[in-house]
Amino acid sequence: MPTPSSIDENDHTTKVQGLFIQHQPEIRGFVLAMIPNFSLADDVMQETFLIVTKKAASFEIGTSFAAWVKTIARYKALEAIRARKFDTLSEEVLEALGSEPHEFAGDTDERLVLLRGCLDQLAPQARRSIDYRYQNENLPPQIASLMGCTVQSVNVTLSRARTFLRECVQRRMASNPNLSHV
Amino acid sequence: MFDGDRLERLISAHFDGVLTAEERAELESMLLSSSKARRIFLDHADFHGLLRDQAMQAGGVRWLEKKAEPRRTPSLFRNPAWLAAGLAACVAVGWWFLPKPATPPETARITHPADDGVALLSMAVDVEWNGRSFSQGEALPKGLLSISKGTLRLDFYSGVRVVLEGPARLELLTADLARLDEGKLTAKVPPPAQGFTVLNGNLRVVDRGTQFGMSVNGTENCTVHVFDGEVELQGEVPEATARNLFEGEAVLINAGKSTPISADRRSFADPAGILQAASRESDARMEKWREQSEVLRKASGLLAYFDFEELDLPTMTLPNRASGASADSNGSVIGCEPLSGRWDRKAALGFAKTSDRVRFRVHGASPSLTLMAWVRVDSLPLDHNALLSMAPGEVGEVHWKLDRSGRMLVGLRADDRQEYQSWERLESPQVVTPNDFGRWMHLATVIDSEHAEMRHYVNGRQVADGPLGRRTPVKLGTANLGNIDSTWWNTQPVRNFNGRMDEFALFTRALSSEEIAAMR
Repeated sequence: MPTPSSIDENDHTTKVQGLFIQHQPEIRGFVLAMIPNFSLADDVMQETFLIVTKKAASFEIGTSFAAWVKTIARYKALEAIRARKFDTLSEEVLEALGSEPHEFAGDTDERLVLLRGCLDQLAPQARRSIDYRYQNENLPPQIASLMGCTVQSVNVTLSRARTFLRECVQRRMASNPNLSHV
Repeated sequence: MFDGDRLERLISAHFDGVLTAEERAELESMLLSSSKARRIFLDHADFHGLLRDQAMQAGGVRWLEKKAEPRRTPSLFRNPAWLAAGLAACVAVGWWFLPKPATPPETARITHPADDGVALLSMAVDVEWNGRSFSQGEALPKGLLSISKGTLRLDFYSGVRVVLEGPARLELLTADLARLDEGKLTAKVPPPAQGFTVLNGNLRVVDRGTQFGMSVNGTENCTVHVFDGEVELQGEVPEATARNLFEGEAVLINAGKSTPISADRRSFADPAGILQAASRESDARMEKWREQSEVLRKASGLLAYFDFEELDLPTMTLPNRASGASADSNGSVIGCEPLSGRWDRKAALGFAKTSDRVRFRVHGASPSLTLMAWVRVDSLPLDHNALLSMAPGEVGEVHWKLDRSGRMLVGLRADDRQEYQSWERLESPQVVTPNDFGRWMHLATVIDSEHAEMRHYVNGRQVADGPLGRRTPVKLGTANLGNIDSTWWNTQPVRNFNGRMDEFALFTRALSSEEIAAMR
């Protein structure tokens, strides 16, 4: 028989896991910013989720989930960085980034929907670059050889496409405040 | 203050892994000195994660099918059932069964876009590459081929066969369009591929069937020879030049002027000559390899060495060539197709079916281990694509494999619990990309008990190292190349290798980086 307190504990853990799920894209973004490699970042995400589950009790609902989960994610990412010794930003910079007050947006699902619409507005070349990068996990040198252009032009295309998409999503958020009810 | 545009470019480059050391230092100093810069960085990071999440969710949809609505498939943590299964797997099942979050089955990503290749490199003789190199049998994507010497034969997917003689630069544009910037080519165009076109500057050479040669020397000098059938010149053609050339005719175009000449087949490579040269090259490689192989057989600590030559077909037995090896360590080939290896005359085994494997047995235990194999990966369709597994289920068991995303992994069981923590393991960064499918690679992994570390090597170069926390001796026992024994675990997912192997060695000592570089 589960005791009442263990039920509360399970309930609390489920809630914390729910927050993780809700903010998965932002957490992934934070991890990717430290580890610019999709597969490795996925591993760190998984390990972070395990720790979040294990330590759920130490998180107090109502306090900043972003700050709490980023501490764990940063710790796990640093472990991976130290184990693999790849080039990324220095630990000092990662520390500064992790302690910057920065809350997660509360409208992830809406932004994902809007993003899909914005992706369809990209020029074909930019769309291909973004798909190669995010879906097929290619890096600019590979994309350059797949598309028959220079690495430099791929870098520019990706950077501009991201700026366009970010602004497009922001514009649509601003012009459609009721979207969450759709 | 900082330059906002510059900051955005640097952030973008960092996310795409193309930041130089100087740029990284610049980005770091911007981030350290400004809270505003850090907030911009974090906003961009949020968005980067959003893009990746959207791509993972839409992963079931091929990007070519633009009009298709992205399926709203549940991603990893959105599906409670999967979440529960994942957790159970993490705590109870252990590392080898850990599902990979990147590739839950419903969002399996496309690793090999179908429109990638335009031609097959069917022959490469005596070639020196400039920039990106390819090997025989490999699919050639769109882009530039540049060689400083040698001869290539390209089989375009349209059916056109092109022989390219170096020094040459040829840009592959589609299966029936290429740009020749320098060098000589001959093209044989079968009827279904009529219309095959080669560009040079603003000149378009369009084949109307069936065989022509083209030579470009410098920027201003181009000749077109028709050996058979007809060729049409289009685009910027000097005035008073015949637009259609027929069998036996040729034209020299130089500095905007054209001169009719007669076609000269002998100034282009002779197909029979190429075959002979290829065969000579194969012989020479075989000879050189045999010498190295003889030396390797006597290397200290070598316990198992399969060269895949002289497979005994009636018994399907692969002799263990390690000097002093007993017959009971020979390999039993189950399934596997005998195929050619790194070059025509080298023998290899092809692994494709879920049953395919080479099973052998070695005895004892060893504090250190080195594994080496020449492999050609044809695809990575599974979460685990086994290179070797040994002594499954026992403390000291070893698994050596590639994962779906092309990372090389080794795991050494350090205790008998079925838990993630029971393994000493090392994962490399991605070392096999879809562009490497069909390419021969030298893979090696060292478990070095003396230095308490593990190392991975690709083509003789170290690609990863990590600590060996617990120095559990490696258990030698029943081993499978390209597969795993499934009797041991009922829920065993399929993890057979897809590709070829033409050399394999197992040493009971840690080879040095120099020794591994020398094997390459």
